[in-house]
Formats: sequence, C-alpha cells, structure tokens
Amino acid sequence: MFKVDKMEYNILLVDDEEFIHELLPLFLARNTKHTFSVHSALNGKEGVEMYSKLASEGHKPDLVLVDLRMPVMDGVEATRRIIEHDSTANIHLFTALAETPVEIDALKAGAKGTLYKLTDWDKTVQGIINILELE
Amino acid sequence: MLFTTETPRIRELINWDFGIYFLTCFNVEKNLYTSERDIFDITDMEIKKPHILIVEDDTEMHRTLSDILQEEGYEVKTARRGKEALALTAKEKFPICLIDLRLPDISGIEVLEKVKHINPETYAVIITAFASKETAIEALKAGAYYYIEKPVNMEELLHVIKKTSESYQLQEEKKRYTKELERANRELDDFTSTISHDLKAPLYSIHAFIMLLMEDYANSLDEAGRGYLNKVKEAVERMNVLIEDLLTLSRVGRKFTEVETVDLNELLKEIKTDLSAQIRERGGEVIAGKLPSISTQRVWVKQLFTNLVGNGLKFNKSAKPTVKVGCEEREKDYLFTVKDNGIGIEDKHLDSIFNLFERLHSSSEYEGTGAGLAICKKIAEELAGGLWVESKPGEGSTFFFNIPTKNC
Repeated sequence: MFKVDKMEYNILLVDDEEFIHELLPLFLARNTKHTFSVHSALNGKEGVEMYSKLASEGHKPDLVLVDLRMPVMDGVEATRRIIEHDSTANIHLFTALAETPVEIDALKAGAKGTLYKLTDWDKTVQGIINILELE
Repeated sequence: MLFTTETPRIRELINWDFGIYFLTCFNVEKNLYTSERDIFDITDMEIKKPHILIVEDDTEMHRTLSDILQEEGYEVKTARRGKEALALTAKEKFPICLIDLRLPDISGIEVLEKVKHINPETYAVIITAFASKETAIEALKAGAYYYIEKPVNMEELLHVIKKTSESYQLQEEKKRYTKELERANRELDDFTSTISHDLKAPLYSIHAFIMLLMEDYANSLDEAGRGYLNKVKEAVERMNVLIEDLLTLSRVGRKFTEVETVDLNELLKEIKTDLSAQIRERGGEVIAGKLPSISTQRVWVKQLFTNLVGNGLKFNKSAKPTVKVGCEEREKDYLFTVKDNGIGIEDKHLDSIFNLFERLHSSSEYEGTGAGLAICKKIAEELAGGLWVESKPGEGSTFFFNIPTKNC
C-alpha cells in the first residue's frame, strides 16, 4: 500500500442542484486527512469557463465532478470541451443514474469514471479521496 | 389480506404530482406536444381511397373498368400486358391490383406472384374467365385477396373493390396506430426517466441535510424532535426507492447493454449469492432445475428472476421458505416457472398484482413499493413473452413466464 501525505486538493463541482454545492464542502470538511477547496459551477458552460480560469491562474482542478443533466450545457458537452482544452483533465461524472446512454457518451468524451450520488455521503467522500489519491 | 391505508394515498399523491408535472411538461416539452397533436391529426384525417392498378388486355373491358372506378373516386393506372404491370409496380406502390388472369405475354398468376413479391402488402383481385375451383385456389395460394368471374358484373366488382379498399385502409390505420403507440410509449418512458431523475436531485439534498441534522444537531432536539426527524428520513428513503423503481420500469427494454449468451444456471447461482442474506435469515432454500442458455440482455433477465425469487422468499411464512425455478422447452418457447410455498394470492388479486405500485399488504408486514411485478411483466413482454400466476392462498404461488425460442 502507498501512503499519501496530507494534501490540499482543488475540486471543481459542476452541478445544477445548488444545495450540492453547499453539501459537498460540508461533508468533505469532515475528512481531516486532507483539505479541499471546492469551486462551483451551476451548468456545463460555467464549468468549462471556470476550468479555463482556474487552470490559467495556476490552480488547475485536481478533480472535476460533472453532473450529466444540466441546463444551458449538459455534462457530455462540458466534458468534451474541457478535454479539448486540456486532455489531462481529471473529469469524473457525478450522477444518480447508472449506465445511461449519456453516461456512456460522457465517458467516450474523455471522462475517466463515474462517482454515483449515493445517499451515504461518507462513501461519496471516500470515493473522491480514492480518486484523488490514485492520481 | 388487506390493502394498507397508506398505499392508495401514496399512489394518489404520486398521481397528483405526476399530473402537475405532466401538465407542465405538456406545455414546455415541444416534442411531447407535437406527438399528441400528430395523434389527433391522424384520427381526424380521412384516409384517401387507394390507387388501383388495372392489368387487363381487352380494350373495351380495360376502358369500362377504368371509367367506372374513376367515377367512384379511385385513382387508376392501367397496364395491358403483364410486363408493363410489373414495370409500373416496381416504380409505384399500388395498394390494390386488379389483374386479369389471361394476358398476352405472361400469365396473370405470374404477375400476381411478382407483384406480391415486390409489395407483399398489395391486395390483388383476380378476374378470371375460366372460373373453376382449381384456378380460384391457385390464385388464392399465389396471394390473391379475392377473385371475380367474367363476364364481370360491375355492381359485384364495385362491391369487391370497396371491401378490398376498406381492408387496405384498416391495415394502414392499424400500422399507423401501432407506430404512434410505440412512439407514445417510448416518449412516456423518456418522460418517466427524465422526471424521475429530476425528482431524485432535490431528494438527494434533502437526505443529506437530514443526515447533517441527525449527526450534528441531534442534541439540540428533544426526543420527539429526533423522532420526527427519523420519520422524515424514512419517508425520504421510501420516496427514493419509489423513484428508483419508476426509473427501472422506464428503462426496461432499452438497449443499454448488448445481447449476450446467458447461462441461466450460472445466473441463478449469482442470484442465490445476491439473496444469500435473505435466504439465510429465513432459513429458506432456492432450488433451480436445469435451465437453458439464452441470448438476451442479461441485466433484465437477472432482474426478472431476482424479483420473482425474492418475492417467493419474502411473501412466505413457511418454516422453510422454498422457491423452485424450473424450465420446460416447448415447441416454440421456453416456459419458466418460479414456484414458492408462500402465503399465496387470492383469486381476486391475481391480475391486479401486476399493476404499478399495487400492494396487498402493509409495509410493516412486507416491505416494498409494489413495483416489482410491474417491472417483471414489462421485462417479460419486452422478451416477447408473457408473465402470469397461479396461486392458492396458504399453499403458495407459481409464476410463469415464457420466452419464444426464436428470440433466444
């Protein structure tokens, strides 16, 4: 097993459910191993813009969590555009539904995996940490 | 067996919510609106009289038939020779062909066979001067819809053409309605999937805030307050399961996964492992007979067997709940049986148990949303088969479903 030191991670959350943006930092903060800085975008278009902005300021997100169904620009298109900008972007889908055609489209567009929205937030947080520590 | 007091209420609540959602979406979702409008258009639309091709070499007969049918409002094209008729049918679809059996180049039967080959839906009416049982049978075997003897009685001819035209129109209507129904069903599935997804998102947040309250603020509440919070959490979790079930139902039959060869013996082993906690807890047993390997979408067949076997164990008060899975290969299909020694179902509920969210028991007695069998039925129908049940209260139930072997 490998040991990961305490890290400060940058996460970009792209989701149209506003409360998630409040909840994710709250649950992440319960993990004392690492610290997290969560940036919020409420649709795909905002997500793409925020990614470019963060990357240009030297704060490239360590993880981008992208919801699939969103207004203005959906998760598939957002994934495609972020990957166009930066093929190394660490995008994971953040969705409640497993194995939908859109999920498959987004994975083809360059998302590295899917983190399912489970009602057990401890598992969700653990999932995020696993992704980040494996990078 | 009693309906719970809360089940109809939940259903009513959901129906009400769906009603509102539906009204909203009806106004907003253009595609839904369009499809509804199309259906009305079709209902109101008068189906045109079909085009008729007359294949007749006799000049006088040719003209008479042509005139009389045009007078009746049919659009008519004519051919004097068999080959000319075939050239025309290759270019244009004629719903009705009126063919004289005796033609100068090729025989009327040959024209008939080739016309039916080009367009199997063509209704062919044969005119024959040598009416005999043999020619009639020959023509009917070759695909003729009707035959008329010479000399042609025009009244009879018009009557036959009218009837043929009605058959054609009925067939067209059926085709159109079937297509519309398929589209409407697909859209309903999309609609269900979309709203289920949208309903899940806020529920996810509600659940998370409840967890935060319970974990971080429990001490600020008295016992009653904590009790209420617990009830909110339970209701949210129940709602989540209902939405999950709706989603599953809307996804049945979609090609999410490829068709693959599934060894049902292996699949049943897997299901037994999945249900092992339930089997162990009840001291039960799942016995599978010899099952075939079939080509199918694994995910749905697994769901079908899991729901049926799970129900057999769940609705069971025997000292040793036992579920037996069997299969019989019949002439055209596999007949699967899932037999339990459970509580059984009263006759009057044998049909209604397949309805969505239909529950015969209170949730304190048997957990569940009542969507399981509706999902099973939809899966069985997607596999081109059916699902039905035989049962004796107090003795047990046997669920049957069949899958045509040509689909395996």
